[in-house]
Amino acid sequence: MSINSARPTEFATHAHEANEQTVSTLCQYPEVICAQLRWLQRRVFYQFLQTGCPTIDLEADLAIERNQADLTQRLALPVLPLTTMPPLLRGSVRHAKAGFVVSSSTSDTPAS
Amino acid sequence: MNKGQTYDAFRSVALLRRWIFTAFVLLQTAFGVWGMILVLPYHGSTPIEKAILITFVPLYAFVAAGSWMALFGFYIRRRFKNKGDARSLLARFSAKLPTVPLVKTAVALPIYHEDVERVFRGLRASIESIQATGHLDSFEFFVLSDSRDPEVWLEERAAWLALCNELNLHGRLHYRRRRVNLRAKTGNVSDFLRRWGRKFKYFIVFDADSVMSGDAVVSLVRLMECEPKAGMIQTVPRLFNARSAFARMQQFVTHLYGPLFSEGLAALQLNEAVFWGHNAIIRTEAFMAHCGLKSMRGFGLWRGTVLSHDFVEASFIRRAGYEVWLETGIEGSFEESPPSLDDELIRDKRWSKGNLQHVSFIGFEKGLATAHRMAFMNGIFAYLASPVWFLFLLFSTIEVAQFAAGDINYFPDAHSLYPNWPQWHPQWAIVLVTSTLVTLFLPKLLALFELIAFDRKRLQGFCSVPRLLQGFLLENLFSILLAPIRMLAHSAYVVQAIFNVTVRWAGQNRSSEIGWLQAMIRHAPGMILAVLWSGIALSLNANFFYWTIPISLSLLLAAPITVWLSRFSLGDRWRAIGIWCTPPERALADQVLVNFAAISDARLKPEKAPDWLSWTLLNPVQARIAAALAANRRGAAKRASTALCELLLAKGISAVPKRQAARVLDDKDAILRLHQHAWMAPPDDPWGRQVDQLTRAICVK
Repeated sequence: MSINSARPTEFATHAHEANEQTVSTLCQYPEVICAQLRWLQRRVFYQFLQTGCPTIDLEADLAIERNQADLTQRLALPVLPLTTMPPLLRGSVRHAKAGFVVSSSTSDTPAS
Repeated sequence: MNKGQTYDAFRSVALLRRWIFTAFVLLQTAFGVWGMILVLPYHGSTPIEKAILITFVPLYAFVAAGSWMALFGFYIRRRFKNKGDARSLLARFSAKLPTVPLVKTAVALPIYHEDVERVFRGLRASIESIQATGHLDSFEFFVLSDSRDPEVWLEERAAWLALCNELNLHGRLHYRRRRVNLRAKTGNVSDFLRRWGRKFKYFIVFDADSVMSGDAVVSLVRLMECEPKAGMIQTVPRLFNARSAFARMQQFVTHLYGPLFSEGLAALQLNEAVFWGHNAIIRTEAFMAHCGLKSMRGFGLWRGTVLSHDFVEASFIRRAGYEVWLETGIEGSFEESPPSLDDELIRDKRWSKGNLQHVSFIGFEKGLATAHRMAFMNGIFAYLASPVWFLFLLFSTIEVAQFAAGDINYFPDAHSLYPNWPQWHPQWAIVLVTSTLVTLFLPKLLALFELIAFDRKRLQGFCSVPRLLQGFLLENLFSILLAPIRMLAHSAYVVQAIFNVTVRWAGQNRSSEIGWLQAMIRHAPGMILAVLWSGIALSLNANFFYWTIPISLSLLLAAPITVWLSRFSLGDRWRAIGIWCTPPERALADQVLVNFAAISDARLKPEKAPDWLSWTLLNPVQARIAAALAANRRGAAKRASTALCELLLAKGISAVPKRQAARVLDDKDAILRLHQHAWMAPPDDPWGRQVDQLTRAICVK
């Protein structure tokens, strides 16, 4: 599975199957390269979490500023409006007696 | 609407049925008591024998009432050929039901620290089933969370959003979490009604483990439309989705015996049935106007929130003149069983205290229907029967001990000149025990007979007749073994309730097995008691010892029985060979259950991801959702969340207790600030470290 086609959950499942022993968090390159790789990794991972489809431009340079700028742009994405509940209808007992807003084919009051 | 203003068409038939029922129960109890008097050596003339008789009378009456209820149900089912009571709503309105237009109805699902995946799976199955009827537009769904732990409510919110996205339910499926969960479930529902209830003519209450078919939900709304006097219609939920042996046994019980008992109950209650708290439809305006529950103002357990609110709400809505129906004919209403005996007992602890609170409603609440006062009494005695049975055993032991000690009194009545010779009639004891066993087991045998002889369609759901009989025998064996364990636990709960021991409000365990240590600790008092009692009985009288074996053996084996029955492996094994097979397991119950089983367990966050709070702050999608749902804080609240945000920025998420840290999610600016800071933080910053850990946990392998 290529990273480009992996959804976050699939990626995670795939990741667990790997041998724990192979995990290496140490960077074996010179510190300058390692710093660049860390920011590249962070930018790519953010993009992966955000879209499920990260891209690594192999022709691009590894400048930290470039990845930071890309990350800043992504972080600045607007928050789309979302509501969990419909507008509030204050309906205490007093309000309830004043009249319900439902429509009905039959009477709301039991026959007397 | 007032009760006095309306004509009750069912009053005469209800009274006739209830009087006949009462007469049978009283007559049988009289025979039972007469038999007991004959069995007792002094025929009830000594103080200890009087005490035995006093405890025997309500116990025998209670058993007789249950038995006659089932016999009544058997009669109704045979009389109307399984089509339900002719006076039921479904029987009266079935012809015009398909043409009745629907009205706006809310489906309310109050939850508190439940298994999130299970809750939303059940809700999804129900929504898809309603969608299949073509009437989804008439319903809106409200998940009403009281969860306090951010690890639970953040998952709930993610599950809600995932379901909205998958079924395109934005604006139709809602989620609300109360920040202050005052007065538990009652407060949760009334808070929903105060704010949004006015929009809906009816609301249907689900429990966390409820599943209802679209047809059932649509039928409930239509029945309400047909009968404007109906304030509540309760369906009969059947158990499903059981895995452990215990839960499968309970499932078998509700499917095999349930129809008889519920039919009998519905026929006796008619339009004065009770509400069981879920899988029922309620007329919103009537409920809001008449069912507001105040905190109790008495003393001890009769002070504070009403725990078992459902019975009280039914009695209040009936007092206002509305009818409450138990509709047995509506199929497609389901719930789950606790997975083990211990989980059932934990639930019973809450219910026992709640039911004992009803004492104040029986005596001091004006205007309630007699049927509802009886229902309160029945609910109370369902738990009070246990200490009464315990006392009965205690008094019987004392009686035997007196004789064993040679303490025979020939003049128990101080005012009598004639001696009273103690007489032993073992033959009467055998007759009495036999009659009690018949009373206990006749309803079960009738249910079995009815299924095999008259209900071929339903019989298919129980695999085969030999397996059904095998399951029947095993169920009876286990019910005998479990009865003393339940008795002892309920007795303790009643005593604790009387002394007003606090009952913790917590989500139920619906999916775990019981470990040996947990079972041993819980059942140790009963096991010790059984050893002591057996020892005393053996030392007093060998014959008495034999009589005590069924009870003491059960108590001795309580821990192994509990552990064994809670095993999923046993449940699966017995399921494979067809023991305790039921219609839902054979996909014969309802399509909604087939769909429920087919819903895959979609993960809401990667398994190696951190806790929900960190994941929400770090994940770009979750952080934006949290920001979109957070309030725009002002004033003191804004200052507090800013201060909290500053603290978290400086020291990281682990520096603050989780529930306190989660308050930052109330502030949109704080969420975005933390999120942006974390991703831009250098690797040696606490947040930078956390981002790198997250990356490694999920990606680098």
